[in-house]
Amino acid sequence: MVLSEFAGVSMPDWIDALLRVVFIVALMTINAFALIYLERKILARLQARVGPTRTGPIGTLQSIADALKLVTKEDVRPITADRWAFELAPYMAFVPVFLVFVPIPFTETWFIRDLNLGLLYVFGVLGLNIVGVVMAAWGSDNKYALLGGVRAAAQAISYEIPMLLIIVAVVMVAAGRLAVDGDASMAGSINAIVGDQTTTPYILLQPLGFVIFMIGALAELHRPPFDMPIAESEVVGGYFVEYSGMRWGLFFLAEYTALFLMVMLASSIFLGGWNWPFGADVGLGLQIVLTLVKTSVMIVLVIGSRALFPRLRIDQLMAFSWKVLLPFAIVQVIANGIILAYGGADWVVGLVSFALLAALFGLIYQLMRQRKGEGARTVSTTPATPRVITAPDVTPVEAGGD
Amino acid sequence: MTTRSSSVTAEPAGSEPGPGSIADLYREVFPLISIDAALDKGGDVALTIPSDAIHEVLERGRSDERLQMNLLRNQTAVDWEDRGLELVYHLYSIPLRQAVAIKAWVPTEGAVVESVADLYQMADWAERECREMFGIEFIGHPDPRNLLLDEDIDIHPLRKSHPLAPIEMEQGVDVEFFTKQHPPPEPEEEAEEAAPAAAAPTRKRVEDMTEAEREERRAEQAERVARARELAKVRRAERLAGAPPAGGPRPEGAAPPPTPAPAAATEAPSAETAPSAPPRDDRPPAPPPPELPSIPDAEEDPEGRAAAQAERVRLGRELAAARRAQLRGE
Amino acid sequence: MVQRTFEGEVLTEPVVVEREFETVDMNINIGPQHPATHGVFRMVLTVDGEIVKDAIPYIGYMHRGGEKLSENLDYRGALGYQDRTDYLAAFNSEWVYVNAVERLAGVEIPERAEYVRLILAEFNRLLSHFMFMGAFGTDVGYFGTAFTWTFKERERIQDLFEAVCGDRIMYNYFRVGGLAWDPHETFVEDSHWVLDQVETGIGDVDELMTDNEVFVARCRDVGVMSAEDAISFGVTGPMLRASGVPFDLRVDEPYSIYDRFHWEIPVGERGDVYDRYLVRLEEMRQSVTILRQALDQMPTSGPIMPERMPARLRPEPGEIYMRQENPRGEYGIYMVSDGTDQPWRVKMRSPCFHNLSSLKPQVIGGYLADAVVALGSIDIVLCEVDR
Repeated sequence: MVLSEFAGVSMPDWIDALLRVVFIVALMTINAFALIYLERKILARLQARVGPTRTGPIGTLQSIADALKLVTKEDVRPITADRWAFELAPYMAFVPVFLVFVPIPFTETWFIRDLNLGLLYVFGVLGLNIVGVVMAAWGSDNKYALLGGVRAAAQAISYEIPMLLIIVAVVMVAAGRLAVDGDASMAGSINAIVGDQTTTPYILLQPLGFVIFMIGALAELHRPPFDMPIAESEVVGGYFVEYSGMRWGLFFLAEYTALFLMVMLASSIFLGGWNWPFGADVGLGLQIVLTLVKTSVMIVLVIGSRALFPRLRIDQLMAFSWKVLLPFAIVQVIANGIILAYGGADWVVGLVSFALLAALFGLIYQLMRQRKGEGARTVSTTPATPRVITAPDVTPVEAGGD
Repeated sequence: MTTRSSSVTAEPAGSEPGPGSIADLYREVFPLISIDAALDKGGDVALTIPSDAIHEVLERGRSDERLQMNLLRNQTAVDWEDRGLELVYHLYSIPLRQAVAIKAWVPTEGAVVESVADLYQMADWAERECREMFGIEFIGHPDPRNLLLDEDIDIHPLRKSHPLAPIEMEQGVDVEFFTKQHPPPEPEEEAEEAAPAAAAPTRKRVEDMTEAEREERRAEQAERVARARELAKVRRAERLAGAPPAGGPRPEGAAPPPTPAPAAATEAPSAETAPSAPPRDDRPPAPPPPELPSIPDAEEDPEGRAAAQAERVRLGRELAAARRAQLRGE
Repeated sequence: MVQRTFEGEVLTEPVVVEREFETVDMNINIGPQHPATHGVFRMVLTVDGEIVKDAIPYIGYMHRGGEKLSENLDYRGALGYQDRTDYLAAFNSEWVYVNAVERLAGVEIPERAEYVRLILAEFNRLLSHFMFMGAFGTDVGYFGTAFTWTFKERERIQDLFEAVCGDRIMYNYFRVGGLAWDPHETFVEDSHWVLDQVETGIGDVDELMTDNEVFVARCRDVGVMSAEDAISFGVTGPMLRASGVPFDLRVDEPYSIYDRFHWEIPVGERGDVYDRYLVRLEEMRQSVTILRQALDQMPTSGPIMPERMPARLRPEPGEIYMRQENPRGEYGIYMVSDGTDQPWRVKMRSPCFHNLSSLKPQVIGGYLADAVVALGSIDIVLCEVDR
């Protein structure tokens, strides 16, 4: 329908679908280039640097140069690597990410296919991504890679559960709203969810959901503070430590595409996607702009987090997911169920979610304050008199308690 | 510990510390151990004790409440050649702010001292370093491996009998071996190569080799290494055989083993230079080891000591010049 | 217990062997080439999943025999090796060496030279601690932010050093008896300006790291070392003070002119990585305090070398153990003279060597990621460890 709408050409459905797929793949490749440049520049500004300046005007061609370098680089395979696992892994990580773009709406009518179970499809297919990562980790025959891959797998499992629960909560709200003026059976379709946010973006109804979704997305994307699978100072790059050349490039293409995808998903589900805020009606042309603007803002936030956060430890990450995020997600689902079952209004849903969000932040703050304890005290010098030092009160600490 | 100011007042070496110093405290705590005290130039007290009392002195010094020497800040040794090795422990009491150095004499060869790693965990690494650098064995050390040096090296570089110049040879790096790798092929090899082209090219990249060739290469390398080690061992035995009794100065006569002229290594590997390189035996023989004067004790004969040292320095310089000349092939 | 018999034989209880899923500990070789080892340090970790079971540190990759080389040079010639031991605090190391030689030879130092030395050494402490903040931030997982922010200020200090002595890392500026030459004319004004920048920089680092929740989560209660253990390991410097022992050679065994200034020693409570960070951060502020006072007190003119210096130094036979507070701890030079113009024995007591030896107990039982953080908090300089 892309061309039929914009150019007035009619064609068979399958050709139309094929064109859309080609369009998405091409767009995402260019998008990865743009994102890499953006990331370098934003990080540079946050780190008191200027970033790339030499390639092209203000360094805009830097990504092209990087890509050329990657393509011309030797593709090294360790002699002890498991050949098939090693060589197939980049594709296994790369293909699912592109498959996920099928139900993502760029405008009201601009998607590859609108799926009834769109959200389920997204998470089902995206989960395959980790297979490639684990294959890379195992196939490299490298201990750092193995550690990184196992970390990535553990992390993916831990963070998909609260994310999925939050999606359930969102779908509950969407089904309730769609039942009023639409078809509640379409509540799993992303486009239907976006279409429902003409007046109220879901971030107002499910703020806790938005926060948990974004935290989960950071973890899925291996972005700081959740980048231990690829932690440079610990596992030296993690699962792609043995990769070079274009295979490494494929991992990065997958990573940046996944970044765009996750952020796009968040902006569709929570920020209203192609909707103008509060019900203003704009044409299709502006819808794509709106989508991209919302996505870009979120991308800048995600990239900025890389400069401002150190890395959590793997057990802290797990504890945060299972002990904090998961209970909150479950409570959110239960609360939504109760409120919607008794026919509560939208503002009640939003208020409860806000309260839960406040509780989440309060809990995190409390935990951190407990952990930090007292700061360093200072003592004044007494150079002339000898002093007797009593042993300080140091309590042994269990490893890894959070 | 006296308070130090920026202006330095140098105390004469070996002077007895005044009354009330930490030396008296130590003598009070250890009445049965003979303790010689001296002030060093920083105003610290250095106590010399018998080497078999080190562990006891450090242990009681740590627990005794008048001393409370809880920080072993430094441990090392000094090689005094014919007088043996002097072990030094620098101790400090953080609560009482007093510093002391404990010293003990041990023989150069075969010194055995009780380890203090059970008192101060710091001594774990310090004694490992001391062991590899001076060859002092510490009884009861939990992990007596080499620390800074390679694990299978058993030379003691900080001893005075280990001079700087032929260190490479002492370490088993055979100069002759390395120069042999680079000169042009010897006649018989040339003959082999002149024969049918079936002979494999001498230089082939490792990745182009077949498995058999790799095996061969490995074997060849292993053989070379073994040969080098063998040579180094022989050299070492030669030097040791020619060495004067323990603690003596470096055995100069044995030091310059038949070294090939380094010029041969640096020259371009052209066919003409190889035969023209002077054979070893043509070079002047190693200078005979000069008779070194023994150093008298500082307390008995200070002038004689200074003179003897000056004489030794002069002889050492001459020897070094001769050695350099020999290495140049003059 | 009732014994059961069957046809005369005593039946024993069947032995139940509980079989778990068998796991194998993995050896991970961290270093000598690894982003977190700050040089060529190697540690073989035995890990059970992510938990470290055993750690074997290997050092010596940078061993150049600096002690032996110093024994074969004259007293002034060996000064250059001091720059190359602790290259992040070269002024401090040089200072210890020249102080040792001066005491051994009984040389008086002019007051102005003493002030310049102290100022440069304290600036070098700042520089070294800035480097620590950056490298440690990277170990904890800041993607370069900590590094670039701290390097901004470090550059300014290095610019100042370059103006004073013409080099940015290997200064070789102190001489036995004083200084190589007078600092440039605007030294005091430049120093004040740099101090202003540095104070801002310290504030930046503070805001970036100290209260960051993730940073706190990673550093608190990691690599805990009790005061007794720290002393037993010979740990000195900020690490010892973080364990709660207010031991600072500038106060406990005052050298130079430190008794003319007022400042405070920061002391930690828990002895963990976070305390080490906080102690160093506070130490930077105290260094700024010392520097301000020293710059105000410094004589504006005067000699920088004694009137008469012997052409060749031949100290009387004797020995000295000179120790001073380097950014990493107690740096000592044990020097023995035999009356000639070459030292008979030079021993460098490097703080990192002993601080690093305390790594093993800090690492065992923790996570793999904690091992990296604990190693980073020691602030090692491998050149100094191996000498």
